[in-house]
Amino acid sequence: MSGSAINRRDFLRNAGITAAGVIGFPYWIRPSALGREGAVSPGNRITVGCVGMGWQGEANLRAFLAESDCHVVAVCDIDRKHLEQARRQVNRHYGNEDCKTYTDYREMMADPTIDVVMLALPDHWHALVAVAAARAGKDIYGEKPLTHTLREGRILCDAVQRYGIIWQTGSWQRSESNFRFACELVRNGRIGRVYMVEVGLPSGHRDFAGTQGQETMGPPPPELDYETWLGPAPWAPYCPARVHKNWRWIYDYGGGQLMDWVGHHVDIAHWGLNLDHASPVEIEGSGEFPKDGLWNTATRYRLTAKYAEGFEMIIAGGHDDIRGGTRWIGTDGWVWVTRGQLDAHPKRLLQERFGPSEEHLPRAANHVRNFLDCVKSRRQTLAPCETAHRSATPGHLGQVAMLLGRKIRFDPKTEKILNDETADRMLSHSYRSPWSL
Amino acid sequence: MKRSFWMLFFGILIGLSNVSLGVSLDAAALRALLEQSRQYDFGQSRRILTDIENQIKAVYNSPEELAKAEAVLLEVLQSDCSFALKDFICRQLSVIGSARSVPALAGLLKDPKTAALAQYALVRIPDAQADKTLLEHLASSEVSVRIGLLTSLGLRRTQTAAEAIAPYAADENQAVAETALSALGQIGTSEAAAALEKQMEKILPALKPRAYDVLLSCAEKRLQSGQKAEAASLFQKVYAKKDLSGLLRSAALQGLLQSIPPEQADRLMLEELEGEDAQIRTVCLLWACRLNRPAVIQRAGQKMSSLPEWEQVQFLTALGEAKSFGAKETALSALSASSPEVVLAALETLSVVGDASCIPPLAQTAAQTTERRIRQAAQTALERLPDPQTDAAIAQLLEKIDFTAEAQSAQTAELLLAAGRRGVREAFSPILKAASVGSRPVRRVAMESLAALAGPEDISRMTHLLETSDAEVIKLMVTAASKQSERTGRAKPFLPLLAGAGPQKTAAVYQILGRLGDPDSLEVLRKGLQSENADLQEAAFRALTEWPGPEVTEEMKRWSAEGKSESRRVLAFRAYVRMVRQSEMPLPQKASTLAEAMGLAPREEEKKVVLASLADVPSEQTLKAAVGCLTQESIRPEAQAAVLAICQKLSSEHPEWCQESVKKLLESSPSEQIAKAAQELLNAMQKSR
Repeated sequence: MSGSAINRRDFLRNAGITAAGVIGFPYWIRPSALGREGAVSPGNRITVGCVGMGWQGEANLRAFLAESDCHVVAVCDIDRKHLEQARRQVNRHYGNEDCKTYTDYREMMADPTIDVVMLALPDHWHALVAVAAARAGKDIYGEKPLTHTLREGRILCDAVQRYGIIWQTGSWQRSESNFRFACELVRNGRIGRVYMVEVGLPSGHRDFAGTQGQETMGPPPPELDYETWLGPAPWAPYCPARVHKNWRWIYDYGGGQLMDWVGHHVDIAHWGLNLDHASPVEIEGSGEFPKDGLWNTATRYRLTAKYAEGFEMIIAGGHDDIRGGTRWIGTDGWVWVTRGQLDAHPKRLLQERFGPSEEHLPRAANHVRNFLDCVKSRRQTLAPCETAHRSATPGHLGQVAMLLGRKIRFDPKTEKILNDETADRMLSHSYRSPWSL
Repeated sequence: MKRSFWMLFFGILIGLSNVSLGVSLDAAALRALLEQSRQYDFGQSRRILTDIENQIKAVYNSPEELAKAEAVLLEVLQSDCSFALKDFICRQLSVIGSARSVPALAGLLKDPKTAALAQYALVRIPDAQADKTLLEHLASSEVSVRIGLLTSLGLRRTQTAAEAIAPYAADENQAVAETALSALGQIGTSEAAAALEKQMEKILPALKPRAYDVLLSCAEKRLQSGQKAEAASLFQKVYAKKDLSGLLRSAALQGLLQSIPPEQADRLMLEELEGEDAQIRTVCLLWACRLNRPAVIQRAGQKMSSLPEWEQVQFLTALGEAKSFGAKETALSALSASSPEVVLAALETLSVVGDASCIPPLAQTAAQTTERRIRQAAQTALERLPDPQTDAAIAQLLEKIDFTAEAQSAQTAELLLAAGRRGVREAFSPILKAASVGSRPVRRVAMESLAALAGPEDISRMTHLLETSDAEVIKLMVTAASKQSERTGRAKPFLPLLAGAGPQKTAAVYQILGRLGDPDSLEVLRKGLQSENADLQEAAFRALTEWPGPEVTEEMKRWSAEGKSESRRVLAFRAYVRMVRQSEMPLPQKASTLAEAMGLAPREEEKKVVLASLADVPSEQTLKAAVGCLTQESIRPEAQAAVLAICQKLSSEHPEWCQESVKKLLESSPSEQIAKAAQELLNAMQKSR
């Protein structure tokens, strides 16, 4: 199955190239990349390689193209249609034919002319590509959730830390003023001691690709390298409902609405509490799963997580009593925030200003801008790797609690589930040969 | 009644029996379901698999019952069943499997087609028997299976496997070797590192960097578990290899600096700071800050101006992030750098480590720069200086300033701005003085700061500013008075000013009263409409058009039609539409009022104003009003935008109204942008049906 595909792609040779080509300079940024405002010559820009050009990847590509101090020099995808569209988009933007194309991310990582990479892949590919990028010394803009499993997250964080990589997660709500203000209200004690956080996420399955129900096995379209698309996931035959955009509704590749959104609203919940490096110590909950069909992720769920810091977090999708977004409830009031909206009790909190001795969270013109600025200064981004890992952790643990139907206890320091070896082992899964992390 | 009683009785009985007996597995039923699924294939309905899974899930918390389920699964797994069913069974075993499953799974390892299924289960089975089996099969298995076994041993972090895995790191097959390296990295013990080191010479050159990456990973795990000496030894080995990439050596140095005693780390960093390797130097600069090592920071500070621009930026950033020793002094000295990037980095650092002594240089930087970015960063730093003495220091500095002097006015303005942004109440008097006697730019900033600081209780101290009656003073008064949340009473400090006031001051007070909307001042303004002075009449009228509440809505509606000049009719109409929009009247009433307002608009410009308001109140009425305007050429673009906006809000609730309206919109030759959005909306509505 996979072996033949990999042989075709000359896996062994490429693996050698990648490993031998570890020559990046994450601690180092070319002096030329420290461009002057509005006067960056093309040769002085931060060079960007993009991996995963469908949907979110295309949106991210546009954001990078809009920044004048970076230059997208290469795109990579295993769907040749996506690849060609992206190549054309880049070339149209710069008015030339220079954009390089790759169908093997390992070759892109071995390209020493690329400074940073943007990664927007299905979840089951997040860790493999990101770790390869970190080992190659590329700074990384990567999508959420950080990884498909909790164990992968730790390996990725360690690699990013080891090589001093600047990492920005696509948790872009951190760059929005209403989310920042909400978090500043909570951090500066305006609602007193927080004892409860409610996180409302979407429910159900949305047919993003118009392929719902298309589950008849058949040959993959010629433009798609399906074996590589499956990558480390268990082998399964091709059908349209399995792949583009809708892969997120299948546990082998994604984590449903919970994992799609945990990197947004739970991430904000942690940010507000200044607990970017915290994880729950206990979690329990339940979910409803489809009884038939290929899509098997929870369509309705409710989790209760307890934190050692003394509060509870309810994470729910499809429950009317939990409003979509993030709501912190404290002894003196509450703050609620979601995209484009903000509310608080008492209302006067919405007019609050913060004094110099209070906490002011960093401002960013936009999320990609923040990443590029940090690539230059080596400052920590708004959504660093470890933060994203911890934001995803309640989701990973929640999945296990839901699937096993029992309460689990977690040690945030060792990142092990306590007294429940079966549950602990569910924090990782097997990789299909020849993939390894 | 009787029936309910018996239902309740049996319900309780069943409940009690469940409590006492617990849930038990019906092994025969489970076996039967599995038998039915023997030929199950991908793509078929998985309802029956869900039933099987649910039966197993029901006994998840009962080890005895799970053992029964496991036995049934194994029985079927070892029989002649489809690949897809084996896949399903192995997934179940990955959750409930025990040592009992291992032999059957080992059987699957022999065939490359089923080995991945077995590994999926084995990797999770919490029994040493699984490790043993994975190890036993390593030597005899086919390459792709061996890779899977190595991956599984790595994921299981099988500590006893390090010795057996290590030779594969030197395998001539790169995929096998790379997987073995990954496994050793995940195991990460001292034994794993030692076993790898023994193989290092034999590892293929292409994989050497990955092998050193694994050593670093092992070293990090030693460091995390407090075994610093062992960690340091491993880091040192990688760092000492000058032929390795700068990336690996930097990573090794970073680990080494954290593993060795601080004095030793100082010596190493000081030595490397003088070196030629920029990447290594940068690691030293960053880690000197993170580890807060004064001697190294001091030396780096002395060298800073000779460092390349990017190293200066990164050093300054690291100083601020770590709030390290000497951060303030280094950043202050960098304010005079020629590179704007360096100055920006210094300002950002000062905003977190600066103290009151930084006020003058920051104000000077903000005042003197010609770069907007630097001015803003300096102002932000002044606003954020965390030192608690800062406010008092700003107030003292302002006390000493002669605001009538032109010299230094830019710097004075920066201090005034900082005082306002920081909310320095003790600086109120000098700021008020600056607002009274300062030069034009100083006055402007002073009033901005007063607006931030002043409340209703301060108004009496500021009313002398009204002698000038300029827009900034009026804005200041309105802002200060509006800090009282209730409108009633806001006008109180201003009403006495009207006694004996000249026309200019009276007009200014009218303007304030209009914006404050205190009902107690309404009659004063209405009376002003009767003034013999035409200017005061006009001032009163305009003040009423700015009224923030609903009290004058009807007057505005009347004047829209009966105003004595077109300009008054226009102003009154616009005020009327605003008041309706902002009113708390029920939505249907608001919708009909706005729809009706379309007919009252004195000019087409005002119709556009109404159209822009309609989308705030999405309803059948407002939609009809907007659709009605699609035929009027001069206001068609605004009508199209309104129809689209209303339909976007109403489409899920009332697709029937919206589909028809969007079609009319599309027929009215909209712009490309509107047409695209309208078509998308129409498609979505048709699809959702």
